[in-house]
Amino acid sequence: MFTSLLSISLGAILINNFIFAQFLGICPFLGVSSKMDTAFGMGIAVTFVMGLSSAICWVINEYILMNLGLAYMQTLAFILVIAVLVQLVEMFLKKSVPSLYTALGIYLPLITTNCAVLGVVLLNVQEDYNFIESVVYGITGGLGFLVAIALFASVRDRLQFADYPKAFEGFAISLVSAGLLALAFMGFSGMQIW
Amino acid sequence: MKIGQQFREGIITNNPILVQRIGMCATMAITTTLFNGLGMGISVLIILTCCNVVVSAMRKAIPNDIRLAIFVVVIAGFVTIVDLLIQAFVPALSASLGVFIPLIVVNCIIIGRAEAFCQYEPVGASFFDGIFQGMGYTLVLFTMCVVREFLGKGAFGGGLLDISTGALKLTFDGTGGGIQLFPAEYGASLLTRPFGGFLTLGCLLAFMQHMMNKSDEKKARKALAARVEVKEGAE
Amino acid sequence: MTETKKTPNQILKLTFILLVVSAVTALVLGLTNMLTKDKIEAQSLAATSSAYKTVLEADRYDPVDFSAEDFSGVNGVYKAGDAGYVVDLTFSGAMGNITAAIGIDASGAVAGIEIIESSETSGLGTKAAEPEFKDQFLGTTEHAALTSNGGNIAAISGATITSRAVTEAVNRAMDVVASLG
Repeated sequence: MFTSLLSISLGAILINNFIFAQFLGICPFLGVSSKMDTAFGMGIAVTFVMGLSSAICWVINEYILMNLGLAYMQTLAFILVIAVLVQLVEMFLKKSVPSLYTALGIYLPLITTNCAVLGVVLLNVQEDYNFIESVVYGITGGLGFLVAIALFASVRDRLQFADYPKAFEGFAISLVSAGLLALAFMGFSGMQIW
Repeated sequence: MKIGQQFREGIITNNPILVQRIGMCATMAITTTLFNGLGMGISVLIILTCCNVVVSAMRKAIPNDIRLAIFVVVIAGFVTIVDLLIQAFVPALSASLGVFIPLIVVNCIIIGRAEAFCQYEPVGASFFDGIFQGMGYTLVLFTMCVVREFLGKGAFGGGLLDISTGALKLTFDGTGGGIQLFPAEYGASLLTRPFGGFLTLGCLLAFMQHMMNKSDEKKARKALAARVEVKEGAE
Repeated sequence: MTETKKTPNQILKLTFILLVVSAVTALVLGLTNMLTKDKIEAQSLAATSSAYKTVLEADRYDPVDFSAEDFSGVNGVYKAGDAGYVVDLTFSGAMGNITAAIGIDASGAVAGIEIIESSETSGLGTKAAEPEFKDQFLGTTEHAALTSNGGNIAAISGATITSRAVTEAVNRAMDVVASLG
């Protein structure tokens, strides 16, 4: 059991990184990675939402949707749970960590539309994970997102001093650089310690 | 809103991926075969148009505070309908697109159009907006698939076209082998991996930006020339 | 964004509208589900039964009992008439789970392998479904192993994990059939 959790974690962070291998969470990844502090804060917020929504959606799926044969309602139910959760996180941050709240700005409610959050919940169902496995996948997937966004923030720092064609200004050069990071992460594929 | 102008906007000047820069997750993830790309593009087009029409029809009745929640419920509804239809009639597409079909719910393009356009515009304009934005999206997916398949494996039309019997056939069950334009070993197979997705989209965005820069420069030059003419005429 | 305090009435009204929209959506979805349920089931059934036929031709496939605790991942074992058995199993590949049907004929030799579901890397792991790799197992009555582990199955270059996973699945299929006695 423990080794399966470890292999899930390793997979989520390195081998099948949510951003670099599975392409889940690109929009905020490109949008919030310009400064290391904001990137880090976003990563932590996303990790928290991913872990908590994995837990809640697993319970809802297992005890309500599956028992009533309502598997087709998964998409609707999950996205509503996530939307409510993000709203709660927003209210919490506004009261407790207002600096992070203002720094994240519009990107905080946008965690609702973050493919990684809905993605991890759907993947939990697809892979048939039990409760603990789902939560672990949710949290470590978020950590993988955090690693990716933090790495990318430091790359973007360097990009300011790089000399690239004018047409690549903005998203284009970010995408190409992210691609190079994805290339580096390909080195982890096929790793099997546990 | 004139239809012709909406058409130009949807395909080029306000292309959801290349100009608005939203909805990029799926773009890079599934553009490995033409079957996937067109399948996803058409699905998004249908869902986008349906959602646009419904949101626009309800726009007077939606309270402002919960509009995003309502958008999400409507979109989730249509996504599930299309998901079930695909599972029933094109199961190969459901298998190859995987979680990216239900993930259309959080595709920023659909929520974005509802928020920016359909709340304010009548049903007819919203309908065409959905069609044209969907076409623009599908066009980008098509381009990415063609580039990645051709340079990556030397193929065209993977999963969709089949020439094994000598005649060109369309296979809607995803089994077509595609047309092998040159042997796969000579292709840059990295382009079929995630790196290829990032690189191709980045280059497409750069190309689009380049064309927009050039057209801006041309407009600026024309405006300058016009001003100079006026000045000379006045003298 | 300025936040105005809402009266309980207003909140109630908003919640009600949201509930109505959700209910209508749920109803429409329920209807769609009813209309497509059978087709979807038929599709997945067709996929599995065509796989079984490719692996070991028979008129019918009768499920047999086996000890599920000893053989993890085996979804079912089916008697293919007198031809042998078809083992349906799910195992972990490089990029997620792979579901395959493996046919073991009456003499205990591998008769065929068919990959039913996989999400392996296209061009690498997906090559496991091709005859070039699969046919290596045909006829083996003993446990197979990759050449790097002392056996004679040539792994797909660049897809060692998938190759190893399929090899182990074949071995497990042979074991479960042997356990039937």
